[in-house]
Amino acid sequence: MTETELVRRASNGDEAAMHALYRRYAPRVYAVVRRLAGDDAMADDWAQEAWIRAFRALPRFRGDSAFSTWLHRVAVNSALQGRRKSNRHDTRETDLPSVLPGGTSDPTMLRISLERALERLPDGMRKVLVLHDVEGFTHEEIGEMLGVAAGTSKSQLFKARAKMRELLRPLKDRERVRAYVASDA
Amino acid sequence: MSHLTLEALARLLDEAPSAEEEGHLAGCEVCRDELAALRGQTDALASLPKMVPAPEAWAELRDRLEDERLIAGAAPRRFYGPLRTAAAIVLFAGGGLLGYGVRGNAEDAPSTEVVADRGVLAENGAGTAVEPAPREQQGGLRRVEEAQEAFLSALDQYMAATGTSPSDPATRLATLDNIVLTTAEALNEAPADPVINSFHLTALAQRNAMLRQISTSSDPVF
Repeated sequence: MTETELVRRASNGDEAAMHALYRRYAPRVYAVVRRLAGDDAMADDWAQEAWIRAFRALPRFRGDSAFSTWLHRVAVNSALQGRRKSNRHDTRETDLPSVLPGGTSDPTMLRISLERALERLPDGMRKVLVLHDVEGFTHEEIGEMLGVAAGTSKSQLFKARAKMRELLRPLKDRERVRAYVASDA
Repeated sequence: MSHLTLEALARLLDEAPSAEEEGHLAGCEVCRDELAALRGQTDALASLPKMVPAPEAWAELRDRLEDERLIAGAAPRRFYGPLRTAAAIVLFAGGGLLGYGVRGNAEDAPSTEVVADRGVLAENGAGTAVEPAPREQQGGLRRVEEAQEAFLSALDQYMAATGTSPSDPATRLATLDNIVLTTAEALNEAPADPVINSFHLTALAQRNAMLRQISTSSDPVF
């Protein structure tokens, strides 16, 4: 069955079609929501909320964009709204493994380091970094979603990348750079 | 010139460097390394894998879709159905207001008016919920529902085997004991839930009253 047909059936309340769409896109929806949420418990709720919203809005989906793009936006908006409601501004204090991106041959360790560093970012930085560098939205799109200017999204992104670099920088490397900077000054 | 800031280097992943920045990069290995590390970090972020939601996520989502009538032909589940059943059983076991037959038709009875007569049960508006119950409460309610289904089935067999009736004090006591146990288990999952707390306290109170009644009765119960 084509995706268009699945979407049409799902918008009419066909459970099998809904389930098929869910199976196809659940990992993608969950991933973006989880990374914006910063923890599993909230991600579960927000991902469910995203799907509810999507199925609720499906009869109004006109097909101007691909279903996956539309769904992705619904998921992001749902997570952003959930984050505003949750009013959380804490960052987790978990230790990061000392892994430098590109400097490890273990992709699993690298992924874990990245995910944990993402969790440690302040909310504003994480949102922009996830939306831009992970999800591939433009600054204009991010500005629209977050209600900020594209320039603000840009400056937040650069700060977020720098912060991530700091979080991921192994201790030894950090000391080496500090020593170099000190000797240069 | 001092090194470029990390923010400036982060910008250079998307934008061309100024002449000054370009000149600095040409002669500074540290900044070139930092830029390369930032590029690696950004590439790695872009290739982060998908994440897999919990296996039970679809079942939970499906329940909500039903509740919101987004699935064609689905009647909304009643989150408070088990609580209505519990109310019926508490009332039956405690005072026999509704009678045993009510348990087979938990969707229809007891009415909130009848529950209201019993005070504490009505306080939390059994049967009036509009918003879906929170996850831990749903878990607690499911536990109550499953335990009660199992218990009522056993109760049927017990009464058929012994020839006792629902009004029999031993049957009532057993029912109340079961409600106390199942609501206590449900509270483990949702300790702060006011509805389950109310049922638990009501069941406890009625069980104690039944025990007092049995202990002061001149008729042998057991």
